[in-house]
Amino acid sequence: MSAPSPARIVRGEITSLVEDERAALYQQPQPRLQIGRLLVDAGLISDTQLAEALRKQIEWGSKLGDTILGMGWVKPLDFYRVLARQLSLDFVNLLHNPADESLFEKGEYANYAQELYLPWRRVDGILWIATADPLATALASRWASRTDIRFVVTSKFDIIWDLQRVAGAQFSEEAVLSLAELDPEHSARTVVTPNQKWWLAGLPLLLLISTCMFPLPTLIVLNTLINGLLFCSFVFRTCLCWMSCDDNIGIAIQPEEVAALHDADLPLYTVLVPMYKEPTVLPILVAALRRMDYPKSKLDIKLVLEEDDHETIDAAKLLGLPANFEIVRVPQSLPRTKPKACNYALRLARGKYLTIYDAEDKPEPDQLKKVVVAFRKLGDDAACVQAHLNYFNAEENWLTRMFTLEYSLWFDMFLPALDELRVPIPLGGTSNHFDLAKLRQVGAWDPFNVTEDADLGLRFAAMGYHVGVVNSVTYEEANSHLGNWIRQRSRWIKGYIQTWLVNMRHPVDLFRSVGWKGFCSFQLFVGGCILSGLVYPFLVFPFIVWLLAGKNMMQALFPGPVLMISMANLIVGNSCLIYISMLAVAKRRHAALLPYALTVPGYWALQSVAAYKGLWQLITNPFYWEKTAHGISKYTEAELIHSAASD
Amino acid sequence: MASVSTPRPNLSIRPPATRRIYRRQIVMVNATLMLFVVAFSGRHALGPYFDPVMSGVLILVSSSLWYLHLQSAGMPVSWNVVFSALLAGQSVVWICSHPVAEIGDWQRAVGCAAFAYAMLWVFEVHESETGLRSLATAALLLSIGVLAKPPLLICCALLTVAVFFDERQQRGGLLNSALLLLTPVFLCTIGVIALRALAVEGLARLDWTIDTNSFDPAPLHLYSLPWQMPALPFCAAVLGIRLFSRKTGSADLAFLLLLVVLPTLGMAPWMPRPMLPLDITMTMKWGAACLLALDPPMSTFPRLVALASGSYTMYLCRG
Repeated sequence: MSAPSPARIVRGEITSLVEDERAALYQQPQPRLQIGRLLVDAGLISDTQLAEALRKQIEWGSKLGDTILGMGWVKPLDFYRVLARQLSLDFVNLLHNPADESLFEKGEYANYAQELYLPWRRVDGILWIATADPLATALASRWASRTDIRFVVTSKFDIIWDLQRVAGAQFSEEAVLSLAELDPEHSARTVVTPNQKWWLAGLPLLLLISTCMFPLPTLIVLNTLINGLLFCSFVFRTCLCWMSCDDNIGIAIQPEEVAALHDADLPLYTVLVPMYKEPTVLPILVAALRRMDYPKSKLDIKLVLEEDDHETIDAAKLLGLPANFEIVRVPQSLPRTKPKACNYALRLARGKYLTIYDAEDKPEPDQLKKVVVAFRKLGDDAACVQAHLNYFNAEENWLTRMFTLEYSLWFDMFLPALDELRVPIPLGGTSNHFDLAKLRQVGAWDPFNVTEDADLGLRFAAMGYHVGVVNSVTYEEANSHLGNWIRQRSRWIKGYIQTWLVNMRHPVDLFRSVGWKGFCSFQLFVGGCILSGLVYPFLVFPFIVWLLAGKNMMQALFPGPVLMISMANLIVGNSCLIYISMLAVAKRRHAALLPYALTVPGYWALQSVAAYKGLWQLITNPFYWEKTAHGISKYTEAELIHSAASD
Repeated sequence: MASVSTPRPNLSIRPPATRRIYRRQIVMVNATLMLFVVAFSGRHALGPYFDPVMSGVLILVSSSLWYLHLQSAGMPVSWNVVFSALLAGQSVVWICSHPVAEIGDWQRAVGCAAFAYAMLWVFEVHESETGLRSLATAALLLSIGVLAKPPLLICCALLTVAVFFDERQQRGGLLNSALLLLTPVFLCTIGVIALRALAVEGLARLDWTIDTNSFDPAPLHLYSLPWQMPALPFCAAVLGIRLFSRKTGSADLAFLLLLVVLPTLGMAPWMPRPMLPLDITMTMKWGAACLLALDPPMSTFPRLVALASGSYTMYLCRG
């Protein structure tokens, strides 16, 4: 691809506004320049569409161009050509005439992405700026004092494309290393610090010596400690559920509050959709996003795809997405994780708020508006608002039912109660809505942590920010295959162990930053989750021995106090889990799932398998992202048909 | 950056002042319960003095909790003090006028009475509160009820099912409602049986036993009912006050049913670990105390009536 030579530019192929005209362009509206009329004249939109766009433009408080592009009525390339004609500027296709990268300033990359401009060429002392919005006030104030500036119009997609071409490697490096370099103590890049290694080596050694010297007391003390922690964890979770049985818990945004919002006052909202090899489920999300009750001109939707994931890229292109959708290609680098992809896309995000959805997500249409209301209600210290997650294929099989029970428990019961207690909330994987400035301030996601969301929730809390939970639901596809479920769950537990290890590098600092309530809740909730997965077999084992061999055998194998503590915990723990699962589905009004809560102990046994897999993987391959396959549910096909019909 | 101490916007429907009171109450409740735990853990050191000391602690804890309940319901402090002293006085009179050997029975009766008190409170809350919390509280309380005597547990379970019967449509039918209400108590019962089967001695001493008991309770006689059931005047007065002030609700109905069913069921010969008249008396007295605290009378006359009937009950407690 060759750029036009400066000589050709000088010969006038590229024209520019003279100084006076440019000043006039910025200073006063020019009635003769009507983009809508030009689009109609060019046969790109009809008069009816123009009338509709003008009405929407007022309603949404957006520019007419953004409104028309958001509606998907005109191809971006056509629109920007007409825009160039309207402003008497030239149009440049950056794919064919890329910018001169020597003109790029590293410190300005963020501005290029935010304000959609690039320094294109310098010819005879004149700097040519390629912009998608020549009338932007930010640009006007930036270049007001310069006389050596000329503009050309280009598509915003070209700007993003060319910016990635030049800065992609740097973005990618920053996406991987920024947190690890700026705040290494909060990065999981180092799995276990030297201090922790001493503890991890010393404790088992001490235990071994103690067991050899005093076998019974050691066993009893160890058992009491572990079971005591577990017991507290079960009781804590039951208390959280009891709190959440109150209808008034959490941030309940009423429909009237959403209706009272003026679209014109709504901010630009960035939606990140990180995907990898998920072409089949993409239409579900696209349809759900198209149904969102939010001004389309104020949506900055980025499908974040790996550079080599040609099938998903092709599938996205085939969907004929409107201009508020954008494909971000993440260059290949290690670790290949979702947080790294999100960090990369974050460099191109333009919204005031940002959210993440998975490929198969179906958020409720008013979710973004509810979040805007929630942020306004929560005040300045709110950094994130988490929406509830649940499943659309709950009734598929036992596993999906159990998964739905668990998600109802997690998002409808635990998180709102943690929010009420103002303690750290481990965020869910999707539908977490961030204040973009605060997200950038805390260093965004840790690309080395495979539950980057949970880690981020804790980091927000440690920095004094509030994470709220809002009453809006995103429906996802529950894992219906056991192998897939174990892969996903083992990643989660591995990530939880990473998160626990990172935050426990300096326990005193953690205690100071999140307070005693936050510290205890972190140990009981995150630590308890890891511990319960790992020790569950040791609780069940005595019970099975008792069933098979009777109590005499039991007493021979397990001393009285050890047996009593384990059995009590097994009974209390399972009873608590069964009952709180029942409460969760009762609150979610999934009546058909309620009896299935009685089978929760079986699900916890599976959890244990995943916990050991996760632990093993943490040792052998800590940053490996176990990909969860989506689109394997039989309900997905129905969802796809539904999506197609709604389109 | 915002600090941790940034005040949270008030999203709750509960006013901040009330929240502060609740926080103080929670601290007081925990402090009194801690007293109980301390006394219990020092049982070996106390030796023969354990029962009297524990009874003292129980009296202190129960009257303090009742004080807090009355306070949260809006009763003036002076009347709170009088009523709490009355409750404590009734217990002291009973303990002083009975042999030390019967103190254990009194303590178990207090446990039963506390359970009944909590259940009636939940029934009342259910009337005023929508949502799942009252149902969950009732179910979790029932599971603690395995520590009380079986007749009382059975009575309360039946009453709970009756009171929460209206929830069945919201919760997806009768089966689901029953599961939500009775699963914890069912699991706890299984747990206790399992632990007993393992011959775990510490827990085998719980009052819930599946074995039949050889205890033969003294029959109740109508003519001596006030002497056998000294709490009757207090119960009648409280119910009368609530009836006249038109404050009756499902808790009152449940209490009345408890009054009728508990003696019948509690003294049935086939019942494992039957109820003693003392258990029934304490349950009645504390049940009435609960009703009084749920919505205390706001004028002096009914308060005086309650006080007089309580004093008469104290007089009857001499035995």
